[in-house]
Amino acid sequence: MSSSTIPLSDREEAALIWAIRTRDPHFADWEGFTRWLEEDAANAVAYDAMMVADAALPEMSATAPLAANDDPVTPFWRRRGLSSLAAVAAVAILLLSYWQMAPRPDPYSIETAPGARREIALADGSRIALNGGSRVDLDRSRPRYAVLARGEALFTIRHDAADPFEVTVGAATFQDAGTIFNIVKADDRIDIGVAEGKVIYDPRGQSIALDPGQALQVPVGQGTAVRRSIEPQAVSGWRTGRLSYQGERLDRVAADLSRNLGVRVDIDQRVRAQNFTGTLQLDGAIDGVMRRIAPVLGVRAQATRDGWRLVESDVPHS
Amino acid sequence: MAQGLEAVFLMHRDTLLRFLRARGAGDAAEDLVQEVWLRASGADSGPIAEPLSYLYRTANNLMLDRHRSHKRREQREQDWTDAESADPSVSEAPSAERVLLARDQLRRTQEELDALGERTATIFRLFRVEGVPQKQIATDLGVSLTTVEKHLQKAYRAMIELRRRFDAE
Repeated sequence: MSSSTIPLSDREEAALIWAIRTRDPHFADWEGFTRWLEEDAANAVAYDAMMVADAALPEMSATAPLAANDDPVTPFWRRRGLSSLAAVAAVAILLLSYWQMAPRPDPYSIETAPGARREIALADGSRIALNGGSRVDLDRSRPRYAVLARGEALFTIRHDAADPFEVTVGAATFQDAGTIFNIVKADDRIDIGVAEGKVIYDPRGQSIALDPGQALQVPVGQGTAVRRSIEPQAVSGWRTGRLSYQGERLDRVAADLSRNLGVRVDIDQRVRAQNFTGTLQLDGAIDGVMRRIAPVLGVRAQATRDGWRLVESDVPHS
Repeated sequence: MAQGLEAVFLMHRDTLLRFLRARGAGDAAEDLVQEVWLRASGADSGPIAEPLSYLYRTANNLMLDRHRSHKRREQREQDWTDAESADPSVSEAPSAERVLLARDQLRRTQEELDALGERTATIFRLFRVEGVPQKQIATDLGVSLTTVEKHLQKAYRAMIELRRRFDAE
């Protein structure tokens, strides 16, 4: 098998097995089939796709014109003088031409510069709002799928339990039937917060369900995902310049400030691990914002040639 | 006999509803289970050996038909959109090229099936081209049903992955 093969997903493999089984006239394990379908609404969708090409085949052989000397008892491929292997190949090609499991990819990306924001509507009515310095990769042939390649995005997903939306962020997958949730992609961690509806992290593995007011921190690489409670309203806070934190390290706050303000915000080694709990309101000119929030964070903001730098405060920090 | 079938249907109506919902019927399940009955009782099939299985299969085929109609409608809408937005400066591949492409793909499909081995290709042909039931294939070839299933999986999987390679090219 060539190394450029795109393997079937687990769901597709399972759908294939059930398609092969149910195709048989003596199949009787309908209860087993029902149980598999009930595991996930996407299973029925995958099964339908697998069966479509299969069902199309009798139509095609029936419409093949019969020559005058054709013997209806002989299989159609023998009538045409095809060798058995060529016949199978011909059938397979016909089968494949009806196969709808692999529509032609039609990728596109939506990207924002640092500090800029953008909202897009997808074909199904779902919306994605990108924060600054972010990128989402999409594919018109896969309407209920997105990749958060960089930064932060708020997803408002149209409800469709039969066709859940999936977002991939690095190695993590999130599945949702109709919901509002926010994802931040950092190098070491992926943060997701749910405002409405339900999102499932790693649907085909750990299957961690998140309700409104729940957030999950998924480490990149080794480590367990950590669940937290949050205010549902805080999930989309960045859109109105409101950033909320519970015991968060300042280096992460600095990264968020950078993304939201569109300026470079460095942080001194000595205050990176300092903790912050509270809400920041990013209103008005960046200068004013940085000078106002620095003491709230327990640090001092220095203007640099490239942007800003958070350093130790002169004032004793409690 | 329709009377016996009706008794089976009434006894298992809830099970069929559950199945239809699992297949994705949603709110339409109640309407669809009625349609299952209409199709099953209307068909001129004589005595039915496994009535419940027959009802399940009718329900399954009904859902497949719905899916295919839906897809056909989508395809028509997409074709219309494509036609409306088609770039007049981009022309379709001339038919000679398409014939060459089809022949090339046929050759590669033959090679792929060949590479799977004679047993796999034979089982695939018996099942898919000649419509022999899996149990019959197993008996005829003197292997287990699981073996037949595994060979079919192998063949279908190879065909799907080959198709993906064609599409990516």
